[in-house]
Amino acid sequence: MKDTVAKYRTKRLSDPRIKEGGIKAIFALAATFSAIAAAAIFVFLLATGIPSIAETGFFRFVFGKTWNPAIGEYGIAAAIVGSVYSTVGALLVGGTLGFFCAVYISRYCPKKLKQAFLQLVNLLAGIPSVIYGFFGILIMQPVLGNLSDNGSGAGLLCVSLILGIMIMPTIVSMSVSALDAVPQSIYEGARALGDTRSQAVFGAVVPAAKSGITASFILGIGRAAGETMAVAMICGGAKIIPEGLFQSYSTMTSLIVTGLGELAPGDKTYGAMVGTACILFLFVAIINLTVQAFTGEKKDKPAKKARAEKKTRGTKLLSGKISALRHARPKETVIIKTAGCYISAAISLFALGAIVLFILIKGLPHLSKEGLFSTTGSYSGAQTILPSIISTLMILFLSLLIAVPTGLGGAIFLSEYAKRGNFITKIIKSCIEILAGIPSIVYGLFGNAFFVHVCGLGTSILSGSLTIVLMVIPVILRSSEEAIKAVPDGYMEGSLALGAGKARTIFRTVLPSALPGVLTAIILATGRIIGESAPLMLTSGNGGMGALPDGYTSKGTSLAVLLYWFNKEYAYVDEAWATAAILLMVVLALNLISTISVKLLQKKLRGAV
Amino acid sequence: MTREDNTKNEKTQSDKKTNILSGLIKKKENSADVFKDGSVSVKNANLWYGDFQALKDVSLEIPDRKVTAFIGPSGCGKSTLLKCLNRMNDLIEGCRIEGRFEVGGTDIYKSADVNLLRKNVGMVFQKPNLFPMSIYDNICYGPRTHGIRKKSELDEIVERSLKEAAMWDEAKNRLSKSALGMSGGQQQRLCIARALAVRPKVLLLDEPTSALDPISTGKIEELTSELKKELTVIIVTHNMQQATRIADKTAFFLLGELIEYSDTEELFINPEDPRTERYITGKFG
Repeated sequence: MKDTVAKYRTKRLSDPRIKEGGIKAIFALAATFSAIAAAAIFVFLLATGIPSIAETGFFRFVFGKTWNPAIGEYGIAAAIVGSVYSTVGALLVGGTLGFFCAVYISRYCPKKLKQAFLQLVNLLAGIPSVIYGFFGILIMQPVLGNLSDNGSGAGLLCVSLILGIMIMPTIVSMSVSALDAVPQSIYEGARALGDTRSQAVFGAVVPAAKSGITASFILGIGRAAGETMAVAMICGGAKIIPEGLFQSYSTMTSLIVTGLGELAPGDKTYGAMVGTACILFLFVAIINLTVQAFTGEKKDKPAKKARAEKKTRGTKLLSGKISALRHARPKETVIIKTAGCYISAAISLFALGAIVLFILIKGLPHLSKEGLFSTTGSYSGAQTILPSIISTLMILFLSLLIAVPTGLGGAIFLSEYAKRGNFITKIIKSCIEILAGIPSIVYGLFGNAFFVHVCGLGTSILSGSLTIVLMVIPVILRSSEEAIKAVPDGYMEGSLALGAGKARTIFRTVLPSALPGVLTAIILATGRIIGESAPLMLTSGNGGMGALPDGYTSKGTSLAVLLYWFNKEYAYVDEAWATAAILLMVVLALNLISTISVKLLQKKLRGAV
Repeated sequence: MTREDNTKNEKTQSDKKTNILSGLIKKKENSADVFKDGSVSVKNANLWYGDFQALKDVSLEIPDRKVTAFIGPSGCGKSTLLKCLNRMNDLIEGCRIEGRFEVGGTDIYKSADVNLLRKNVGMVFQKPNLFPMSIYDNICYGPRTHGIRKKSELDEIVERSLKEAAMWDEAKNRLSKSALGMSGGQQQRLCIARALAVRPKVLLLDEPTSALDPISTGKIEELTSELKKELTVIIVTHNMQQATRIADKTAFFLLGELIEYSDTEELFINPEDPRTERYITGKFG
């Protein structure tokens, strides 16, 4: 017995406040790292971009219609217009589909299917950008080609359709939460006035969820504007302002990703690319700040004010209802809208099914042992997929190794240690928001300038991994923070009341309870890393790979980049199908794993096991 | 029997008792130098949450190994005072505390390590807050925190704590099952067992039965009467009958002030202050 006492004593003495303070400092460091990364990207963009924009002259740069590096003419007006057109087109397609699909899921879908349906829609969000591009080129464009005068399906229509499907999941999941948050009393109030189900949904519930739905649209715009690879693959690439739905054109993102090649900082064209990224970054940052204003507003408002507003909104709605009834809401429009819900839901399922089935059916037969794993062997040339599989795994390993502890540490700091309302905390949080909204191509450009050139790491798997780290940290941090915040306060109180220190409390009670959420975050990040292409193309290697990578300092083409390259080189169609099938299967498998493991963990936490 | 014999007898008896409660000795050796016993003393306590003053110049002495009840209407400061005694108020931003708080003769805000304090002053909350782990791991959480690793010792602690919380029979066959599968009343008694596992000298109960049915409430009330043989129990309650049933001493709070503090019987039968009388007869609150 004396022994345990002695043991106990030494334990106590060896862990005084120093240990607690040290752990806190580590978490704080992790959080600060994200802020510094955001600041670094920002500074880099401005420092490189502004001088080069100034060199051309701001107006000539933004409004100049000619982009021709050969004669030193850098006008990105055509690319800006291209970006705007694609974004608008994507919003028309994705917004309409997403809105009706969200209404269906929230108000018409049978309760039992709701979760499954949402998960299927989210699957669409997990499919890598290059697969969308690939699908667009090989499936969509030939079909659309039949409609066009010039026989080519490439152009605005194809981009709008593909981008629309890509941004739809964002719009659906955010709108569904907005619609679900509408108090049942509003719906019942409308029904009590004699509305049919559909009249009540579209007359009362949808208007009440207006701000959330609008925010989801704005977020969708941000996604569409920043999307790179899929657009670069299907837009055609001509540097002109498109005059029809079937004309080849460029966007800001496609301009950067296809034009950067082997350029290095210092080159005038490189500067112009960064200038373009600057403009894109500003555009997306403004959009994200608008979303924050829309969604953050409600959180910060004192509850009283919010209640008062809800009340007036409720009465406004009801009086609106009454006047609407007086004008007799035309039944036909409501019927059309309701039909729209069912059709949109069907279309989104069809899109998912089409992409998955086409790619698997056409890709699986091309999978062969030699093609995949031979180190020397070949399909049609000297190309096997093995080096890329290894490169991808190496990138995945290193970037998760760095990003998971950093993101998780930052999340713990922000949710458990940082004082709310503290100035520095606010800055760190805003930096992470900004970091999360940066288009992946901007990360690529930053990684190319900083890791490849400034740090002298060259185009290598290491540079690629570090770039990906920056990109994934905010993903992991934000979802982990949500998960940690959702842990009941009682757990923490209970542990502290037993005399446990804060660090022990976090590691032994808070984190285990937040595990399902953290795990989802990590799996999502894994999916993103495997599917990511634009940043890796500019940092880690972008071409036919032949040889196996020697280590982190050698070049390595990731699977997604390989798919892009195969597709660009025309000669490797079979290999492209095989790669697409592998990528898609990995993403689907990850989704399945996350769903199942999270369900099991939650069951365990709830006490059913 | 001579007088000497008598004292000797008493001594052996108390020896036996300490042997049975082997863990108690351990704790006494550990922290005897810090917390003498389970007596609590509060002098001129003032507490603000931001601009709001929640405690106004409260002073009281709580005796060792007795049940003391804090009563009063909602927002009167009784829970606030309770949370001062194991420094759970430290977690609240914008909370400012003045005055002297002593447990077992030690100033808890000046000289004691807060984790050591909380080990000695256990707390059970309004709603059961068991961790999402097995029953066994829940009970062991505290002892493990304080450095006990040996399986045999932990087994002993689990059995003893569950027996003390009158939960052994209900829990012994499902120790490895999740604690969250138990009923609300059982969970609350498990929370008490978990608090007892670190051998506290004081146990704070913050409205422990407000979310429970009458039968579970009865079991916890019985339990407090057992517990006071070993430690000091301080209970915050909204239920005045509960105070009369279990408390030796009762303190009545109103708007942050301690209005009256005396033996329970005295306070309920013969209150000195008219405000106490009006409250216990149901005129307000």
